[in-house]
Amino acid sequence: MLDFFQEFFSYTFIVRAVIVGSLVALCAALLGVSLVLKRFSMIGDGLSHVGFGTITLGIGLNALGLNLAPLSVSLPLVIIAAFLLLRISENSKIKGDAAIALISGSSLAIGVIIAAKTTGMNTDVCNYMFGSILAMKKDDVYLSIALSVVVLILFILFYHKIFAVTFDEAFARATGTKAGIYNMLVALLTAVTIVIGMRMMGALLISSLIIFPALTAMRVCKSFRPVTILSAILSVTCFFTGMLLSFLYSTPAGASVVVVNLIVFCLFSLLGKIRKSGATI
Amino acid sequence: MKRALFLLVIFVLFLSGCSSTSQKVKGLPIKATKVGDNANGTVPEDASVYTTADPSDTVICTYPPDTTNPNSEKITADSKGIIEIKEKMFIAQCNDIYMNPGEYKGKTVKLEGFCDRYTDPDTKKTGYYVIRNGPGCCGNDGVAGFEFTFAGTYPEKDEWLEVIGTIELITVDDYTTVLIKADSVKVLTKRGAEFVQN
Repeated sequence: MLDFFQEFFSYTFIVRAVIVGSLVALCAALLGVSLVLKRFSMIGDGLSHVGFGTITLGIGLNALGLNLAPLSVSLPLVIIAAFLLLRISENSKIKGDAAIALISGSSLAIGVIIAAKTTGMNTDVCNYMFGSILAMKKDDVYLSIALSVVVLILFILFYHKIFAVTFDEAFARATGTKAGIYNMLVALLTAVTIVIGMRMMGALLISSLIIFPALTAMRVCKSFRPVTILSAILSVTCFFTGMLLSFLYSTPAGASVVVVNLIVFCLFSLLGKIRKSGATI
Repeated sequence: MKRALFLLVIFVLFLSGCSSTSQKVKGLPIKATKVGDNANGTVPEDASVYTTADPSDTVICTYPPDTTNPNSEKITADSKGIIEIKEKMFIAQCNDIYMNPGEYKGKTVKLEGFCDRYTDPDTKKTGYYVIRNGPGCCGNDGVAGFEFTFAGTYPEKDEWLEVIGTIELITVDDYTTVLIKADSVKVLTKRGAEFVQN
């Protein structure tokens, strides 16, 4: 067992992946609770599709000779898209889920066209689609760590306001809380988390990192704080377990993490049902 | 509060600007297409091939390490300081070297793979590669590994090699890429996995 862990941590890129991945998993889990409770789960999915489109734009610009990191192109555009999605969901005649489908589908299509016309569907594009946490540049690692820390600090600083807006937005507004601004803050933090997590999990899988831990924690906990704490613990644990299994069985890292999350969700659902039936007896 | 959020957005955008690539690195190994076999390699005049009487019968031929290379004394199978690119995580480790070449420049690596070669039709220069097959974008059509240069006789195409050498960075058409300056190239009879998953 010790030899296994020694070998696992002997690879520099795995150590980097574990550090970045744990931070992203933590951010995603914390934000996930608010998003799931506010029924904004699909925003994460929509933003990841927007992220894919903007990443291919970054890769395309790079191929044309502009020395830009794809993440630096993607981040501001995904933040704008997050605000736009939020605004459309709240005010527009187009309903939230339809708006998300509209924007995510369009972004994906634009991304595929940009990729086809610039670099082609190469490994770089595939890595952003399905994730490639083991192939990260050192610059990306530092950026991901810095952004994750910013997300965590802001979440902790505004925890009570985010809780108020999540729990009962109308009541929060009535008590003078500027709900719109805190909704924007959640959207901003989600956008940042999606962009930094996309390299790791892939555009198609990153939303599961947001949704699964919160849903799993909600199977056994009933109040906001325990759900948030359990969600964070589960997310990091599932991420690490997924990485270990990926190393052990040579499976894709992102997909392994999602499958571990799924198994834990099933177990917690079962546990929740057992507890519920025990309480009713 | 609006001002605080505005400053936050500016801060995030500022952070994102920090990650602009300082160095272009061409060609992740996995996205390379298979190299051809339509040319002969050049053999230096002073090249020599050793046939060993290794009792394990794994080594067919080897070229002695370059004694002028300060790393040559370190080149033994079990010595420390050599980064061994193993069969497990072969692609991931190769990718990491291509993604972060500055981290590996000047370091000694050891890897196994089959030999392939490619002659540029324009320059007529032949490149030699130690590679393994792997998944690509359109099925299992990718390869992972490195180009290597060697002072001795280059091996034949498809021979199974163990290459030990130093990571060097070269610039081709404004792109920086990685190659191995081999100190030791052994042809082994026992072949490893030609196809690797990760």
